Amino acid sequence: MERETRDRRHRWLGLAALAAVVVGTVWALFVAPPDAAQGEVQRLMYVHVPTAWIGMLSFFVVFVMSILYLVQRDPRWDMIAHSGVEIGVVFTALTLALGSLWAKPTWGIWWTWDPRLTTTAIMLIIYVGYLAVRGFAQDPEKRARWSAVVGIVAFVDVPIVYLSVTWWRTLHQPPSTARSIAPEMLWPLFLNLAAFTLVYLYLMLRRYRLAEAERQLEEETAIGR
Amino acid sequence: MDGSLPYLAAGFGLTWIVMVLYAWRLEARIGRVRDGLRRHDESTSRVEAPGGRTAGAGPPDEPDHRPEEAR
Repeated sequence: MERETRDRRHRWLGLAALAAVVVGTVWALFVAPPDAAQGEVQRLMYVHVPTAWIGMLSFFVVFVMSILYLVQRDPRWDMIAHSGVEIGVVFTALTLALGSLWAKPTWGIWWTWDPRLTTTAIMLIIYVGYLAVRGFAQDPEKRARWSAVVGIVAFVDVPIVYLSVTWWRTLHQPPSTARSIAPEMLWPLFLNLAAFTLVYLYLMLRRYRLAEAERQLEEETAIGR
Repeated sequence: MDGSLPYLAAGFGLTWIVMVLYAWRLEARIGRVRDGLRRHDESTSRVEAPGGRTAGAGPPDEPDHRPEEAR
């Protein structure tokens, strides 16, 4: 019964996230003005920046949950971290694909070994490695401990990705700030950031439900053995 | 449009497809694991009862108090 109530609440959050993304997409494509220098293709910013934000937010959550797990050994922190990595990997892969789609018409190439692109690709590979590590350990406690260590070490790359555009000369533009964007473009960007954050919350809750169910099944089958 | 339509369509389309597909796959995975849990619960509730009867396999037969040859 409690599970059904939670599922219903999640469904409402999912619908709210869907509505926010629809409004964000319409604003980005049909209301926001085109960029003076790049033209219409700059509208990709309204999905590229939010997906990158979700990737980094996910990995930050993984970092915090991994520390909490090592301190408290509570399996819930490990389940949240695992959920965060999976969602972070999906959104980081999407960020790279969207960046590539934006790079072709603006830089004339799909990919270049630019510091921002390279560090982001490394970040993606590291977190795919996290998921692989989980497959190596059968014992849930050992698996959670190893994953937490990887989750903490892997986070070292996240600030490097963020600061890469200021540390090195790159093709990629510096981080967008409220002062560097016109208000007509800033508001739709904020809306899309908020909409994607709702999507992230929804996906995290559902992914956590899956982790809970998987853990329960694992425990019950272990008892039955 | 300045030739950017295919890139915009691909970018926004890809974002939507990935998000919807991932959410849909998550629900399918949740459903599969819950099915597994249900099946496991059902199989463990059928515990062997005394006399070789399996608990949960229905009510016992009516008692038949007659000599063997009369049955």
